[in-house]
Amino acid sequence: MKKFLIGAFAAAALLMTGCVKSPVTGFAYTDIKDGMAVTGNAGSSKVGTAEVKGYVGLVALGDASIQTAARDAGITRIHHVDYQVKSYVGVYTIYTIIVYGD
Amino acid sequence: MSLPAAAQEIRSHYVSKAEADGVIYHTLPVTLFEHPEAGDLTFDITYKEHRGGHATLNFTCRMPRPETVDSVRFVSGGAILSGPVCKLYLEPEKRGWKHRYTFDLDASRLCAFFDETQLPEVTLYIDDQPWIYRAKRSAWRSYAPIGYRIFEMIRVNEAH
Repeated sequence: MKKFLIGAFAAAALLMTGCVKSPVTGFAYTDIKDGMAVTGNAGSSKVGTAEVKGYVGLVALGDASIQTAARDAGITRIHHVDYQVKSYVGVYTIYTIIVYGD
Repeated sequence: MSLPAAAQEIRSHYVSKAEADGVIYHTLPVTLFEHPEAGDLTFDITYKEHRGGHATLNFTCRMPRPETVDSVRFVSGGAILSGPVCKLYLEPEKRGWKHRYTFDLDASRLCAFFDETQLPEVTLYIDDQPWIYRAKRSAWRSYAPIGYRIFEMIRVNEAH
């Protein structure tokens, strides 16, 4: 039973790691930032974020849409979008969208 | 146990971007205040260089009913951040309403505001009636040195 639980836990963690949207991921630990999109709009004075969280690869909750991040900062013209991923052995993962604009 | 400010890792608590007209900094949202009935208050701060020293604080709070907040007052010891707020949106949830507001503040007071020895509070004014959120002691003591360090870094970078 113990081996089964460890195996299930490891499989879930691996699955979760695979779900992380990133060119580079670490099985044990991930903490990266990357670019997602750039528009032709000039400059930015506002920043908005939105995030989703995942637990053990079994449950994932949240809203990390660009629309939500922009709305949270009152952004109507998007300049560019970055994202950030943190993952701890795939057990706990946070995916954050960061929108810059005016 | 909170670590001295110098030992705190701040990199994961903010993002920054260099642009043609100055660097823009943004602290990621943190939940440091709570109301016994309404729940948590979460806030983030955005600062852009060469904009007259103003920062923008956006906050999210929850209330039983949709209310119109007129102004806000963040108090930490002698540091007071206050002003009229602008509504970003109100949204119904399972229980109560989510409120999202923004207001501009004098960024030079932020280092003094993030004082871990204080226990600050946030007062929202709705038709002149106060609605008070108090700091979560351990969360504040953990985050205050980080907030201080971030805005000290911003001040030093802008000055040089």
